[in-house]
Amino acid sequence: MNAPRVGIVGGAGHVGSALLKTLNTDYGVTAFGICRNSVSAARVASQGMPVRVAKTDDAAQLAEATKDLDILVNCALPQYRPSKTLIANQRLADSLVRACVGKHLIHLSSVAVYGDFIPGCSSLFDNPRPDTLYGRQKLQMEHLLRTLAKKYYTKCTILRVGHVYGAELLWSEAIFDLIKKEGFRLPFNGQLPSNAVWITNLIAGIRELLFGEPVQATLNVVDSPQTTWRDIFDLHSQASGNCAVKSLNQFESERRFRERKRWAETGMTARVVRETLRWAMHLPASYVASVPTFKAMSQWAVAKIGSERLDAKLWAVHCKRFASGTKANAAPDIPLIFISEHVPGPCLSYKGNSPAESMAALRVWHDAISAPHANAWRSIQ
Amino acid sequence: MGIAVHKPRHVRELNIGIVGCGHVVETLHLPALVSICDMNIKWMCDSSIDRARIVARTWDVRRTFAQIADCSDVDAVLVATPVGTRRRILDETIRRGWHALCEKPFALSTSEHRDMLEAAAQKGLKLGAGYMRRHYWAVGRAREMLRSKVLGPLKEIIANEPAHLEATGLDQSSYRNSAKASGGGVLVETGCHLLDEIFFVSDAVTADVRSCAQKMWNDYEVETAASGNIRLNTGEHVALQLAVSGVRPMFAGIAFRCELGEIRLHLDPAKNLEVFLGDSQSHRVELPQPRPNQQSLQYVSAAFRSEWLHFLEAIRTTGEWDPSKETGLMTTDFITQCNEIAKATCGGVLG
Repeated sequence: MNAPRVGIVGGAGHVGSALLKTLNTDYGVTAFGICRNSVSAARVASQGMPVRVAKTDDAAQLAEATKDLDILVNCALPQYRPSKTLIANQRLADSLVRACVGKHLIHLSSVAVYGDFIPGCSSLFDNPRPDTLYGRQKLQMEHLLRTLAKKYYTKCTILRVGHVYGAELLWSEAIFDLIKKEGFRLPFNGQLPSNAVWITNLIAGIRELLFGEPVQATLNVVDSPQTTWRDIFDLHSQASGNCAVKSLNQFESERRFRERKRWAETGMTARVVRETLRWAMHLPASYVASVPTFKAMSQWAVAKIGSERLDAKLWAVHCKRFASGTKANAAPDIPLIFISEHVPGPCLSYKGNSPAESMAALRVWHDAISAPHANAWRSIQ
Repeated sequence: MGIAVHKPRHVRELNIGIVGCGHVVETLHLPALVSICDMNIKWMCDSSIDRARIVARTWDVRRTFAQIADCSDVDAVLVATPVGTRRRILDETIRRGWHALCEKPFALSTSEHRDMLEAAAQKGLKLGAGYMRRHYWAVGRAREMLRSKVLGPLKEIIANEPAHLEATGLDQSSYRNSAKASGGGVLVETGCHLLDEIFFVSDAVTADVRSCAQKMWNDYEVETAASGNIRLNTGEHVALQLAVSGVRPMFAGIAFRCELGEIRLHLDPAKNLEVFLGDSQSHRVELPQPRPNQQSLQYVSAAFRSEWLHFLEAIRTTGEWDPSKETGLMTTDFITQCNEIAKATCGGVLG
């Protein structure tokens, strides 16, 4: 099969730009970054990558800009306040599906649709319960794409991408920071599945889809073979020249896991009752934003109603919290992803590489960002 | 939920107007302003009156305008419109005798910057620029250390600022698509903060650019690299190397290299100030934040509040106010020099 011509919507982002670069340089695929503004387009073009500027939420304009392409990969997610996001998602989904009629659309969703903590029950795959705004927006986009793809007979593959790590990626930056934090401990000695995916493996997986027959499916993408958090932390420790992260004791690891699992299995009604009581007990100091379920519900409600005014009110409450300067956060806790179980449902099958191969790239990147370099300006010249 | 501040009886309440109702106003300026006593936000003005109404209603501001000419008189204004649109607005605020705090960068060129300072000085008005990073704890601490010469005289400054490839949230209607409105790229948009921090911390008096290269795409500058010289208020000369990039991963901070060690100032206000001792920099000391474990946005919010307190205090008093320092004239001048050298040098503009 001839190499397909690919358009990457959101080609200026973390994953999009890595995908764009690798496809063009290593896989012999002609890939174009599709950006909706000149600022992003400039970033892509300055790295020598082909770019096209188009209103990605305008079906006619996107179709025109991508008419000579065979496949679109969507890495973009419009992130506005809740009141605008539904409409933005609807427009983007509509324009992506219509631009891909008779073509193949690969949409990058996220394992965030399962929630920060993944309890590992199989029913979660079909009925995910995201607990963050990001996860809910990703899930909303999945629903929209599935419905529209059916309507327009477009082949759409939805990939629920694991926590992406590698050079220049936010997860790796966060891991470098955690390694340096003295109090940080890895639960269960990091032996739980990470549900993470090395960027090179993600691209290898996408490549399989680009060269294969289009499939109408929803699949998880994690490292193949699956890596543990210990593998990933040790890799980053070595790349940054630090000692291996210590383990959190078994008792504490299990306590956190059980507590979280119980919470994840609690129904929404029970959560609301419990948190309302907790909220009431803290009155008058607390407010809506301090109760996670209320916050989630209000975001959901605002998204449904689409009221920009209500949205602005909620945002003001959020901003006032920061401006008051009186509320310091508690000591950094262990992110829930480190006590999650394996993602439910089928995973994308591909020939992955060992993340150990990323050591050199991680080391170069870590050296570049961890200390000032006198010759940084010369390298630009 | 504001900070409880008792209102002294003798302090006159100041009336403030806000021109431009964008994200930074809603997220940072307004929360800071409503937490300060002795001032009253009179009106909000935005070319999109709907936008102004939504923000005004949220923050209990009674009046909204689409044109600055229609606005009622106030003591001071916040000008938070794109730099390319600001000249006309500042001319109007000066004509009407209002003090003004401008969002950064203050002006597009040295000549424009000087013109505005002169016009304000003639009317005895105070102009400030929103270089709020000066109010970060670590910035103040680094400045104290350099002034005390605890690490010996300053020898060299290396400053890098990368931009993350994150969602820009911009569509084609954003002013940032226009090089003319936004100022033209990363040097103006984020590099101005970096330069201001350098000059503020080191107590620089003048700065000259020796060489500069810029990477451009369709009039938008994506990367700038420059080397130059700055003269400190002590008369010493210090070499400066600067790199600002919208695409390249690099250290985000400033290294002040002194004779006996190095002070490393991170751009993220949540990170501690680092000091490296000795030639080999083998001894590292971290100076922790006085209020640890807060999110970056909390430090940024606190800096905005501190900036406003500083500006309002200056309006009330007749004390010393150096407009060229307060508005970052050296920063504007350095950026102007960079742009001119990059354009003039054959091959200086890449891409």
